[in-house]
Amino acid sequence: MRSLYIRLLEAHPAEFRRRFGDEMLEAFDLSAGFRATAGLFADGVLSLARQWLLRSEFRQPAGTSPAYDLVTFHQIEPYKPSGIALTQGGLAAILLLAGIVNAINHGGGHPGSLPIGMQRPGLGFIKIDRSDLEGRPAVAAEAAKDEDDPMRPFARSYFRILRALAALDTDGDLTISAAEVAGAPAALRALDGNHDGKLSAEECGFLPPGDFNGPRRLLASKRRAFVRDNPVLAALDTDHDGEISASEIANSAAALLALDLDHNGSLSPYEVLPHPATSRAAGIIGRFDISDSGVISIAGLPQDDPDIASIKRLLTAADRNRDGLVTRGELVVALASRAGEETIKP
Amino acid sequence: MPRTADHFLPLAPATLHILLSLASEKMYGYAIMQEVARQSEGRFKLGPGTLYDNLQRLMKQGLVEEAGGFGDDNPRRRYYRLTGLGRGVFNAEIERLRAVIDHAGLKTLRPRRT
Repeated sequence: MRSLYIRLLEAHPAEFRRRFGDEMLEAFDLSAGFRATAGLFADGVLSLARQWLLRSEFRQPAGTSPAYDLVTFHQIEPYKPSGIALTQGGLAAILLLAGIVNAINHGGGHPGSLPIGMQRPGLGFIKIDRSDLEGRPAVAAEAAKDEDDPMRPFARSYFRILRALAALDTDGDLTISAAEVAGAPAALRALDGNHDGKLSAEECGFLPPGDFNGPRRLLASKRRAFVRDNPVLAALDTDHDGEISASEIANSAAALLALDLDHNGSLSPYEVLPHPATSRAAGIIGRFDISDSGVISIAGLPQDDPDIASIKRLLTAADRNRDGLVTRGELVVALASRAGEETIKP
Repeated sequence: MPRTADHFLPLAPATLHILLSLASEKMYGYAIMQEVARQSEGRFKLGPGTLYDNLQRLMKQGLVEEAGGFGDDNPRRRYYRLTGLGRGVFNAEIERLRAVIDHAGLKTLRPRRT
């Protein structure tokens, strides 16, 4: 208990401890009984809080304690700021903070070095280096565009996943400009990781299933479907072999302009995104074309599939020639017409 | 400007008991604690933390000073005594309390008007 009380005394400010520590310890040594000891501990804890929180005026400034028997002089009197000084200091701090905030709000700088929080250059003196962000739209501006066009977040994800599109859209504005169309051959050649002169589906963004261990023929079919179902890749793959050959890369600028429906020289997200019906048809065929024949047999649908009823209704409606087999084309038409009906319905 | 005795009045109970203990002779800390308990018949007990906090303040205000030298029987002991100002403050407080008591006595003795 004595050592614990000594620790309590040691926690007091040095000036107080040096001056009264021994005497307080003597009082502890002379006390007797549990109640007296407990009372001394309670008194010690209160004293500790009082000395640190309320008695700053009794503490000497650092460096003025007479350590090592050296003669030292008090250069600063024990000091406690007056209320007026604290008020003035507080006002000065508020004014300084207001000045900094004002500088930020009305600040600016030369191009390439903008104040924190600024989107455009202006006059100011708090600078940050944004040279690495030059040419890229600001995040805030992107958020505003997203509010105007709900399709943009989906388009951004699509551009990120499809590596060929990400390579073509060099400034990341989700539009393949005329200059980017012209620079398409160089941008696409940069994707040729194995330097074989052509782009495989994987080099364009195709990700085979991680646990795929089926026949190679089925994997090749999925690669071709990937290239066929993404409009940009489909436009580039003019011979429909599922790869972008060297000659197709060389002719890519002209091939991309085939997607320019509004003839403005650039490709907007709506001109490069796959049609929803096409995407959905690709998903359904990939799921139910078990024999990889390119068609779905209605009679061969797996009866244990949880969506079997709705899929069967869709495929029966899509089977225009009633041969029991649904081709990709029939399915796309059916899905597109269904989407149109849903749009027209109030 | 030097402070007068009246500046320190009224005294807090702990301060009054400490000055009262030192009024007759110099004392070391533990003896002050014992004396305070004796004066109040055990109702008022000063812990070491409270005592030395008060002594620190009273010495800063110039009411109490060290009596010089350490205790002969125990080198850890330091003795404290009243300064001239401290004695003046103590006397002024006693006078103030006496006046309060006298005033209270007069009121008690005055017959009630019905």
